[in-house]
Amino acid sequence: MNASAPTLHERPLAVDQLAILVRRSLRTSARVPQLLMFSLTMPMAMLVLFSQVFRSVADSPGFPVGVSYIDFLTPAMLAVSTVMAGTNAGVAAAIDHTNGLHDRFGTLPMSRRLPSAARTINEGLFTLARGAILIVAAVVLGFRFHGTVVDAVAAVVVLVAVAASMSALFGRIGDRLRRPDVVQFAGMMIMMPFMFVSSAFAPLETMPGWMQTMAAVNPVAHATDALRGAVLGTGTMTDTATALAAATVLWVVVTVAPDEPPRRSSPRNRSAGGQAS
Amino acid sequence: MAADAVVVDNVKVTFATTHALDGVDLSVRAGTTLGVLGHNGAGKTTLIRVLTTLIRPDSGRVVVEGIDALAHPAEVRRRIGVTGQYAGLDEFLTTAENLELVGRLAGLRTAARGRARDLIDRFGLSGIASRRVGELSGGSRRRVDLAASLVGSPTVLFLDEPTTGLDPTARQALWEVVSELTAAGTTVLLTTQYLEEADRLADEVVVLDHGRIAGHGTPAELKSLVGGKVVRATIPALGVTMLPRRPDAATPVGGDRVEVSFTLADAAAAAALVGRLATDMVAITELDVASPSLDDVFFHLATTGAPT
Repeated sequence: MNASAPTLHERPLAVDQLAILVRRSLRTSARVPQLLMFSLTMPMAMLVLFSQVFRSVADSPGFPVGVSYIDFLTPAMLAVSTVMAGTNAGVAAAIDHTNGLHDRFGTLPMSRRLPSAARTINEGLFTLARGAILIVAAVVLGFRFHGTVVDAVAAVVVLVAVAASMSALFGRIGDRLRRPDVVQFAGMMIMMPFMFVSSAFAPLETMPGWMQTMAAVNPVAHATDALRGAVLGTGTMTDTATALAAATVLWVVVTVAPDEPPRRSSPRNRSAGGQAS
Repeated sequence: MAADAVVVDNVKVTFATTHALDGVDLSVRAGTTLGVLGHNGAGKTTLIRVLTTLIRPDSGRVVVEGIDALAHPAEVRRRIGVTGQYAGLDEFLTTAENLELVGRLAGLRTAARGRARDLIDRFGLSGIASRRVGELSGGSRRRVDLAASLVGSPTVLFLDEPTTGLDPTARQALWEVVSELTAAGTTVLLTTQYLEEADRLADEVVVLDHGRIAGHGTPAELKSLVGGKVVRATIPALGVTMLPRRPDAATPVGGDRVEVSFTLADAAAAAALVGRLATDMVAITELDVASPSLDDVFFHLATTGAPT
């Protein structure tokens, strides 16, 4: 009965499939130059603005003594930029629903996890590029790295880990919401607490108690603390480990979440929704 | 049984409140084409999604190429190709890049690029090989999508309304490609709203209505059921008695006019009737000679029952 060429029915190599999906993600990102520009330079623009607008924060009572605001802000912007990377992954996931690729992938002999893994690798690479641009801008504004080589390596690992967890989280949201415009808005809503309920822009001690409690479960807050520790040369292995653990917990939670939402509507309604966007 | 490439046995799918598929049975003999004819909402897309392992039915059995699709979906995915109602392509990649992407995912590895080139030649896509899919017309996109569904050399091909929304030229071109595939031995299951398309491509047809099989037969049997040509004319209500022959149906359309329709055996009979209508003294405001539509099939199935 299986009259077709046997070579085509060999089990495909997951590594090869992942490689082509990553290449596709990178190509797709590179072919929307405006998006590429904004996604790479947005944190830099925020760094320039915030470092000038909020510099008086350095004079507030809870602020660490002897630390310049740019040294305080730059690691925070690195952490926060991973949240933006996450939104891109969410939009990319939703686009795969509107262009029908999600369904095509579903009919091919490949793991359901691969597209999400490819998006995560893509966003990890973009986070590194964005980070490099950010550091260059920060140095121009007076930023200095006070840590050791080990601190620098720990910082890169934490940055990539939190970017991966954000990309997995937003990718799931994109798979659920299925519309890029909706994901864009939902992304804004979700970004805010991740970014601001942390010590990213001002010391936690200046915030109300409930916010400090929320920050304790925010992986971006832990990443901010670890990155800042590395930059100021005051970081410990515990800071790094906590940040990695927080990112891993989030990644595991969103990765083991069920693949498909329960059927709520007919596929025809879903297709119509896809077409409308 | 052994010669059936696709077997669907009492498959039921229920969404929140509706029975999208309500006990569907069908089979497709290897190397033949089955047309699934039905209106929007009949369950055609749900049926395709069940057959292509995208959704699990609530109950029933699905066997593709002798493999239980519910127990071993991954095995089935190595043997099927799917062209959905909306193209499954990356709009930012070129035609060639899309085909290579699907080839690598299908497990062709380094052979994927060569396979993409073969398909580009075979489908006459060389003019658009290095253009981004997002820039292509609907017809071209559908052709690229069909090529993408053939990258893994599937033995069973599923086409969900492959020509809906295409202009007549693009539709014709797509029909020719499908005919070539079936001539080469590929088993095809296609859904359509067009009787003409089922007639042109399918060896056998099932009529799907509200998630149930409403009729089953060869295209010739369905056509003999509904007749060869339908003539519709809009005339003053008073003119009905003056017609050369009693209409098969008459519907008031307002303004003291009625639309009358005649079902005739073939085009020659239709032409003769139109000639007689013109010589009678009836003032015709609209005239239309058409092949029977899906509506005519449903009308006849409802009044006379299924042919088999």
